[in-house]
Amino acid sequence: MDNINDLLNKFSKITEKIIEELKNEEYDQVNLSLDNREEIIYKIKRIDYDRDEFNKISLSLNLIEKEKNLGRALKNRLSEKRDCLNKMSEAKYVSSEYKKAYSVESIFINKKI
Amino acid sequence: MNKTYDKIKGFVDKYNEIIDKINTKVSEKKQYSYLPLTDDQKKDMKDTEITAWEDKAKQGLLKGDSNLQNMLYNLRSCFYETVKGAGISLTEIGLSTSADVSQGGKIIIDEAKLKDSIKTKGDQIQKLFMKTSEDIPSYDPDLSNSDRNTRKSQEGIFQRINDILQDNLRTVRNNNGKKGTLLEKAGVKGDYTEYNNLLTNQLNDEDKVISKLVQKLSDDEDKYYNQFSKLEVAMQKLNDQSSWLTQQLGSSS
Repeated sequence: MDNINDLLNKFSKITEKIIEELKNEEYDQVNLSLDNREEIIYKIKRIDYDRDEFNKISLSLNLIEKEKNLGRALKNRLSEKRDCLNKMSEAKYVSSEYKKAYSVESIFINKKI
Repeated sequence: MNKTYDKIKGFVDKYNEIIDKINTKVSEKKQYSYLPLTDDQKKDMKDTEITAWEDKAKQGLLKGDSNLQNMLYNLRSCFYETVKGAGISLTEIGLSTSADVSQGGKIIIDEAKLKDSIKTKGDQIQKLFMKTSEDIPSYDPDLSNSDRNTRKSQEGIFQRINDILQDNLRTVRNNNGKKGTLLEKAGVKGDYTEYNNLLTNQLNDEDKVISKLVQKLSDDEDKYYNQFSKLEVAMQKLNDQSSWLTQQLGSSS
């Protein structure tokens, strides 16, 4: 059976792995890894552990900093995708307006001089 | 005599009108600040305002058009190049090109001189305007440059103008399958060229490129929506897990 030290080490490693997956835009893998992280949390909840020991190990593994880094990486990716979608939407609007203005039947292609 | 004078004056007036129209179009300044209106912009405007705006937006579309400039040059040259065998020139009968450059080669009539010439040099005037070429009497779009020059030098002004109009507006194809220059470029209503001309083909090609880009845009949009939705799911999971972690670290004894 896993002890708290092993489980938190796994938690730490998988957190680093998710940050890497976000860098590589492997979003399916990100969700799978988060599911695995959930499994680790589930296992931690099931064992009897000392809170001070939990804190000590977390501190040594720099878990809070890693968690913040993961949160930042995920937020950045979300905001990046939102920007892309906004740009797509603008580009689609421009292209539809262009089509109206410059189609072959448009008033701008009047051959009468 | 007055009838002949009226006919020549009528012709010159029409010629000047055409020259003026073409000149205006090839020298018209482009209105860069008047871009095509979007539907949203049109909603806030009156019909008259839309028309005025679109007229402005269309200005300058033919600025510097090489085909029109070429036609203009050729039309002008009809008047100042000697008609072989006519024995008279335009200036001798009271017709000259305007010295004002902004007039773009309009013909000016010296009424008294023209009327006098009609009285005394009727035959020569007739030749000057209506003479046909002895060597090459019919228009042929496939003539060599040398034959064209021969024909032009021997024919009267009307024939010369007719040749230029044929070169530009001919609906009959030459040996290379080409119709008149302006038809090939812009087409004319009711003719095959209406939808098969250089400008329409260029627009169609642009439309094809745009369609491909729009399709790519749509594919990219789908891809980004998909990624965004996966990231939202991931964010929800992370929020739950981070809350648990914070809770554990915050509740130690």
